[in-house]
Amino acid sequence: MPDSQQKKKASRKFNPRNIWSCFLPTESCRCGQGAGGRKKDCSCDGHNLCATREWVQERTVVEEPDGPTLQTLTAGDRARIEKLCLPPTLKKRLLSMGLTGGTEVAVINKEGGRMIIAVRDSRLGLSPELAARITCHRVAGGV
Amino acid sequence: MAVIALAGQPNVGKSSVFNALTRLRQHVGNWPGKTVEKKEGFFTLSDGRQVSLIDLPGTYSLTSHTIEEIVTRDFVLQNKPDAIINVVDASNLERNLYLTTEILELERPVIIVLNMMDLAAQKGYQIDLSALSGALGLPVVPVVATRKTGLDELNNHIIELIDGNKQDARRGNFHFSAPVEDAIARIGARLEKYYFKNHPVRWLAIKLLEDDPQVREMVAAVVSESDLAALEEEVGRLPDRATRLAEERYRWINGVMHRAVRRVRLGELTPSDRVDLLLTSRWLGVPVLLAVLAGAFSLIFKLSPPLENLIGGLFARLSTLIQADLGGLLPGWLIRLLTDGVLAGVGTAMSFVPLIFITFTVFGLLEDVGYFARAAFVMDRLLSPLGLPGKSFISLLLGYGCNVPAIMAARTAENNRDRLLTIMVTPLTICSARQVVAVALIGAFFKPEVAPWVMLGLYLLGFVLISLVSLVLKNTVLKTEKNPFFIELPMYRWPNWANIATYAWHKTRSYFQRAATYIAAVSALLWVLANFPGGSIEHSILGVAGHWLQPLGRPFGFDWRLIVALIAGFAAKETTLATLGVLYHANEANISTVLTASIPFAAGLSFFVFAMFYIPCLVTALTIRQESGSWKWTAFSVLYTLVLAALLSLLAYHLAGGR
Repeated sequence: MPDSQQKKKASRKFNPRNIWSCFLPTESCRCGQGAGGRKKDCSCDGHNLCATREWVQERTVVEEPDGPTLQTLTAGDRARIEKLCLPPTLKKRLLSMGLTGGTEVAVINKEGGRMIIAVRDSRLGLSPELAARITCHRVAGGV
Repeated sequence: MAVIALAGQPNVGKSSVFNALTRLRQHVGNWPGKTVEKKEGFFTLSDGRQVSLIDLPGTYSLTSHTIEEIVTRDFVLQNKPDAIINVVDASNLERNLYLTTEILELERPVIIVLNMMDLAAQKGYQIDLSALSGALGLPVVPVVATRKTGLDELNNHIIELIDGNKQDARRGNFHFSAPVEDAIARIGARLEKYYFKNHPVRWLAIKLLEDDPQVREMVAAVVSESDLAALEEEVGRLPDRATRLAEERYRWINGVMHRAVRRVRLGELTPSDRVDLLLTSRWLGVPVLLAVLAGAFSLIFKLSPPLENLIGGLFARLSTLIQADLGGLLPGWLIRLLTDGVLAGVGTAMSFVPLIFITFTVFGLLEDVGYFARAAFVMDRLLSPLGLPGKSFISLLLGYGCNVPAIMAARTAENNRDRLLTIMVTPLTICSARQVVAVALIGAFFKPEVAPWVMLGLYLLGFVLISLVSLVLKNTVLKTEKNPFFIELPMYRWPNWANIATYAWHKTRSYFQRAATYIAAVSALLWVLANFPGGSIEHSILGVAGHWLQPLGRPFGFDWRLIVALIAGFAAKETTLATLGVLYHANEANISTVLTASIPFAAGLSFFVFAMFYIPCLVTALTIRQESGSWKWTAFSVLYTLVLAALLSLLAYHLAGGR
């Protein structure tokens, strides 16, 4: 029997949480991992974005930074972005905001670890934790 | 009627374009099944045709990671509007065109509206409009929405698009590199044999390459096992494809910019940056923020009272007129129902309309000039140890206006945990409805000279409670890794008063409608319950029910009337005051005096603390359910606030000498 069918069958088994669902009906997950319709423990993270097949889930392997990061820059420095070592959702959000590989950024201000950078005509405020996950290399010139 | 969608990234002046086109002929509601605000407006084209304009939520891209993105793309895919007006900020063109590349994949006719041309000129941008239009393959219209310039040209382009005269405006010139286009074509060929209602195959193929979870689910549910395996293999051939596609979009945009725009060097300090060096500074950022907030609240509480008194006086006069003119025509009980019930309740609620309007005007102003984003950036340092992201600050600040939009604003959080934490603590902010109750109770139980300090103490207590609850949740049930913080800091700009007034008006109107309908009905019902079956209030239905519940209020010093007022407050917080008015036979003019005379100080203080922090109102509770997607978290927010309020109230009662 294929894996997906086995999972479906397993999800139909009795589960005490199903009783709760009878009293408080909610949108149920279709992945079968939500333990009988409740969202808890489901890999779709409560967004109902799951399905019956494993490939639907986004890959969540996050690389570790392997070089200098934005966090090493000081106010006035310029650098080119290399990689975003972040989970897919956050990474895509920052990519759409212009932090793509090869993009030049300039540090407008950096105080207490938090920095404001200029990227593609806009200004982004970054926390130290985020800046430490974006690798870059310095370029000549300053603000 | 032709339907046109208005799309764009956040802070591009989309609302200004919407207001300029519709001249405020608009309706504000929610998208079906979502708490995302839906604005629909109407305008007439120069040839007399009516157009329905839908203002889509501002988004940076069209992935499926936020509700706004899903609402935007689903609307275009399912409703197929006759045209899309893509508003872009001319002073931030490169970043804004990213969304344009995604909109073009939806295969609807597109017009680019270059808004904020004046700001672009100030920044030293020189935009060759015909070169830009040629490079994009789309009509481009320069507009300064705040001055209503460029609208006639936009009108002409809309007519051309609706009439189908510009079919090339569906795709523009955007394309990926040859290898990516090949991959899209191969994936598209596999998908073509299946039926995906309303979804263009090319768009599905691109979204599969971007690992879009919603599209992956949709495809997985439709295609055969063998095609799914083949698709997976095809998609897997492009390593780090989401990054690659984003980079290719920007590469194409760079080509467009190179042909059509001359601009200043990256990172040159603008006047906006120089202001930020001060306002986001490590040492001055927080003091400046506190000064701004102190100024905002003092403005709110200075401007509101005279207007409140004016409205209160009008209702008192109306009451007298009804008694004098209709006294002989209508039965006595009906006159008293109208004056002591409906008018007393509605008048009390209505007298706070100025407070609501001024609060939202001040918040709208701070948001419009771009200060809210800076406040979030500055506060991240302080909120981070509590487990809250800086963006929560915007929610918490909005919570001082109304908890409902504040809870909805928690959507800007980057993950579920941050969002949930923000939602859970937001009911501890003192919303304007509770401020209404607070102002009356402080007036009743404290001397005028200490009243501002009590109000300040209340806000501080709220902040301490938010901190404590955050810390507890962060270290117990919401113990996961916090997402790193980032936020876009839009350029400071002069406020657009028309937009601010529209925003404040919409918020005030919803309060006004509630006061005129819901509170009127509750006030009438309460009056009936408090006066029937006749005799005194003590023997009325409400009196009996209140007496029955009185043992619950005894530890806090509450008599049955205070318990009834608290129960009524669950429906809407301002109803607490209206109920007190009905139960103590007071009106908006004398309520403070009547409460001072009727309630001992210890019980009054205890009631004041309880009323400020106990359970969120009904609408807020339902919003929590909708936003958290969980009855469990909704119940938790109701229960923990109730317990917290009870403990504080008990403490206040005993410290004030109650026994």
